[in-house]
Amino acid sequence: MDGKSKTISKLSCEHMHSWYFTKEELEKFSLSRKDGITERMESEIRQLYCLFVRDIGIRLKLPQMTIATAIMFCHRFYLHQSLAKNGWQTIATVCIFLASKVEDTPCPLDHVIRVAHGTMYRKDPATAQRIHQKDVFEKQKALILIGERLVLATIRFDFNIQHPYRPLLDAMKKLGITQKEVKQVAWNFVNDWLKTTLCLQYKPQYIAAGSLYLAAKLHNVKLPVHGAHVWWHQFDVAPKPLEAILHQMREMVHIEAKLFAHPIPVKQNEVPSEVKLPISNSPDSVLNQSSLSLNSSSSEIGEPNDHLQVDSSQDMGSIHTEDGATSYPERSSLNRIAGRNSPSQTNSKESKIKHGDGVISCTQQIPFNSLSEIGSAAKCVEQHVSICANSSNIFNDKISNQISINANMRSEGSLHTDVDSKSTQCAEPPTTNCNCSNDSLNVDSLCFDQRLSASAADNMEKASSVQPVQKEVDHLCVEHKMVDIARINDLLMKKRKRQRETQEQDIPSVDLSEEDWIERELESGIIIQKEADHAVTSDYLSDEGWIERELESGIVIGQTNNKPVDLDGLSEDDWIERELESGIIVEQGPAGKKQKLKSSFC
Amino acid sequence: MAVAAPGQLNLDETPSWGSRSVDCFEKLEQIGEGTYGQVYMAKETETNEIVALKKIRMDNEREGFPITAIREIKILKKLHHQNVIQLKEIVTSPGPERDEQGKPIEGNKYKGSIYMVFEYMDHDLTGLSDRPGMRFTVPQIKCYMRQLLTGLHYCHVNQVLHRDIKGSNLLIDNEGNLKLADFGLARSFSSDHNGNLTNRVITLWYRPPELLLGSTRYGPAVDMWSVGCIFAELLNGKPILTGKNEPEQLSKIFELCGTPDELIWPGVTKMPWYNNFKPQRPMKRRVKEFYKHFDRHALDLLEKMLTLDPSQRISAKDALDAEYFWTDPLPCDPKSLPKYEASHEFQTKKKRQQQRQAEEAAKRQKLQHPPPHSRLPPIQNPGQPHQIRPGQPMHNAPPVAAGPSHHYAKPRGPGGPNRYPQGGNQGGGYNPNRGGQGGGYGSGPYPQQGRGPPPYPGGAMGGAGAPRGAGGSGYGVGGPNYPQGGPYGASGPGRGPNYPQGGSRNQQQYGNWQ
Repeated sequence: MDGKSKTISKLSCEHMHSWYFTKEELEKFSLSRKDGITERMESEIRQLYCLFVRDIGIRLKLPQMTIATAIMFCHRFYLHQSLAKNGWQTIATVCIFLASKVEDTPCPLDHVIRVAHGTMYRKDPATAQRIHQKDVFEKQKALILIGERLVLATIRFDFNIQHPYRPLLDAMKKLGITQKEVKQVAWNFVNDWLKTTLCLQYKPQYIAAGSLYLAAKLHNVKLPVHGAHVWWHQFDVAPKPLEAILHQMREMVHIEAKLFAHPIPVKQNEVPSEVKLPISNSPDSVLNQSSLSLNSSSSEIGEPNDHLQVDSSQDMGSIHTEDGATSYPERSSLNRIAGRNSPSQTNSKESKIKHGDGVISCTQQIPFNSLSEIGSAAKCVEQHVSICANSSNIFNDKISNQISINANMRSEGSLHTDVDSKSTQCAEPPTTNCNCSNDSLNVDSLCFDQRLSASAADNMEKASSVQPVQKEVDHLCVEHKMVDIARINDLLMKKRKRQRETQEQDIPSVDLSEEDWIERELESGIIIQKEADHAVTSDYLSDEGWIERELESGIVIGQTNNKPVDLDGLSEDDWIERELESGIIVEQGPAGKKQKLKSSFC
Repeated sequence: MAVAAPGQLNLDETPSWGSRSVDCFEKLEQIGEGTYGQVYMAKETETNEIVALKKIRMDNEREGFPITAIREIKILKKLHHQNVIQLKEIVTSPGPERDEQGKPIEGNKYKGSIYMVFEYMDHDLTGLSDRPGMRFTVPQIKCYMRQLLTGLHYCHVNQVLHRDIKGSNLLIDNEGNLKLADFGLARSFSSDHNGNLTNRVITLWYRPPELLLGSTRYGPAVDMWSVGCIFAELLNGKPILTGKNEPEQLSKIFELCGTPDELIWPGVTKMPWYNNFKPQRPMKRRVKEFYKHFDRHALDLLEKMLTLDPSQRISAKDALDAEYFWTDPLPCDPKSLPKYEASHEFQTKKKRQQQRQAEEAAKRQKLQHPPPHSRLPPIQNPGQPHQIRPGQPMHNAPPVAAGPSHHYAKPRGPGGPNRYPQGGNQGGGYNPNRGGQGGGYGSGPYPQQGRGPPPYPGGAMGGAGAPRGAGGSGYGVGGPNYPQGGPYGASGPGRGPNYPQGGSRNQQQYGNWQ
């Protein structure tokens, strides 16, 4: 006993001033594990509280930096506390409240409590209403205040949380990386790692360096390795850990890529002919095209969007959504808008995205327990299945059939078997493909491309989910938005009528479905805990959610089109500042492009 | 085990990791108290290291752990410098808070107190210079000034504005080291360099003209003005700009430094409150005239520090390069400075009570016979070689025998510490304006404040207005964590009357919280 406690205290002494642990240490120290929470459950719940924090943060209008800090607090809390003994919803609420003070963007406690409660019980209006009872409220408040003390003591009052954003931006500036897509992808990678244990293993500069490297690889941008500006010299990093983190990052991305590998051939076969047109002189037009359009869309999305960027979980679904969109000839020049406004294709996938939110989406968990994840992997693949189907049906009319099939499958809840069979078939070839080319850059970039478009699409997703909040809170663009909502609703209606028959949901469902979506996210975690692989149960909600999202993304387009006007006057420094504040990378450059998009959209 | 239900928290288990408990320390005596916090001298039981524990008061916090404390902790944890007070850690009291009778105050273990653990310092500059008969030597002043500027330069390089530089926030140990303390108002200006900062910072007497004129965009120069005030005070033997309120403060500044115009301070007429405070008649700058007895280099440096236009004011870095520090007599080595007996006046509440009575008596006595100014100008004679070698004990200041006789171990003499009443007399006697500065002046480094009657008449008189700050204990106890009146809280004197009275902390908190 003595010996044991000694070793423990020795270990904690060694780490007295460090918040960084090796993967093995993380596993070894995990108190959750001692309480019977499996690694997988842990990472699932990690996703859940990240989403929960993000959602509350968005509703509270908190900048990305604050959200990121809150997430780090949660991570650090659960490094030394058990998930079995501390409700993650409460801890997440405490962390967002604390982070809002730490990042000097304070939110009144009462407000945080109401918003958190509302977010938690979105699906259950009766319970949600209870927060308005004084006793319930006071009890909740006392809980949060006590929880704050617990969190403070556990995180040792260490408020100085560094994020990779600043080192990343600084390095990109120094290296003269101006390609917006690289910047955006690197940024999105950083957001993604936030939800993984990588940020418990490596200091922010390593995460920044790794993200930049991957982003550059993705876009075939050569980072300088000789001369005055060796790229890794821009970060305060040592080569060995950098290699290690890159290895881990690749692993994560790679495994994800493997899971989704099968669309690649589809893309290669079909997409180029159409998509290459707009940017014919680009050597890697396929990859860049999809990502480019996606990225530009994401960076156009105004501030609130960045909140959403945290969300990597939706990447997978979004990727395919986007892929589907790009494969349509009619949209080749307008990928992004078309993608957003084509509910028919995206719809079926979107439902699975939601699915992914709760269950699979945890990209980082996959590497850790890829075997045990077969079930969820299958689900991921399932998305691809539908995508494949979609993209092979080049013409819209046919797609609707496909969708309805998917929809049926979903509603029956019998999705699994079908999907599994499909996934095994579909997944096979690409997996091997990936493996063969494991070491080569091209393969990497192929695989990464998934990821890339994922992160890019991620923005869309975020944009859509953030929208309701915007509607409530955005003081700048209220008028524009109103207009845009109307217009976009209109357009969406038309599109739907043309392209879809099965879909009955409509604009009015906006609020509900958004709630459902979040609710679902929250719930899916609980479901997972109980019946790990049966997340399908919550799928039926996702249709509504998707429509909602679609609508919102449309709104975002409208809004962001107006954005450049506000932003253009700012200096470079202002930009950087704003980027940091808001958590999004925006550039002055795209203004013209945005305008173009706008005009074509109109 | 299943995943915890919403609302479940692990409050019963003593965590194996996290902040340590305050039980790791043995409280030796209380060395300061404000309405919003107490400071204890304490010993870490394992290492016997002497530390100062500053309690963060939580009970008034409707918003949980105070954002001001968060800011202070954030900044202090970032700063590591020999001239900046070191925050060693944060500890929490594990059990429920106990009241004076030792009864547990209701609540569970996570309602205990939270303490900041600082390295222990023996004095603060104000307390030290207010010791009866205390005279600093020129090398000593140079030594303190250089340390002050070095520490401040470090802060500024790290993009931290202290925003409350004053004598009572400059702690001095018996090794002669000076450290900046009380970062309760400090602010990092990295990300909001162009943002709106509150102009309701810095104790009135040390507040620069740009803040008095309502600027919300300011920088390190604000601290440099305060340094100038302290510098002049050290040379002069008493504070130089002792306004009772903001208009008076500004007019005192104008009397000394002349009235600003667009020529000497471009943009001044566009300052938010310029028109409210527009000088009636132009006045000439008279710094040189006022302080003609200062030595030439000192006066040069002072002129540069007390420059009205913040953009022309000397920076800490440039000040360190000033001739003053590089001409004879050179700044002495801190270690060569005399060791002074630290006299923390109160150990127990009972003793404090006694003190208070004694002090009341003394007060009554002294009121009838106000003593002459008891703070003496430095020992200096610009034309002559300085007579006191560094290290030589000061006149009248009974130096503690160097060596192991560490003062904290010493039992307090019967009848209570002598310093407190004396301080009170002093303060009350010579300058009514200084009233309410509370312990800052009269009572030494860890002034009692806020509770009970003010220690001397001045306190009663100037309670609202005197800016020196009972809040002056260097560890910053006085700074309330939260709203309640002025920035220094109900104990009030800290900041002088703010125009929109009260709530300036509050503003900082959630409104104009920059």
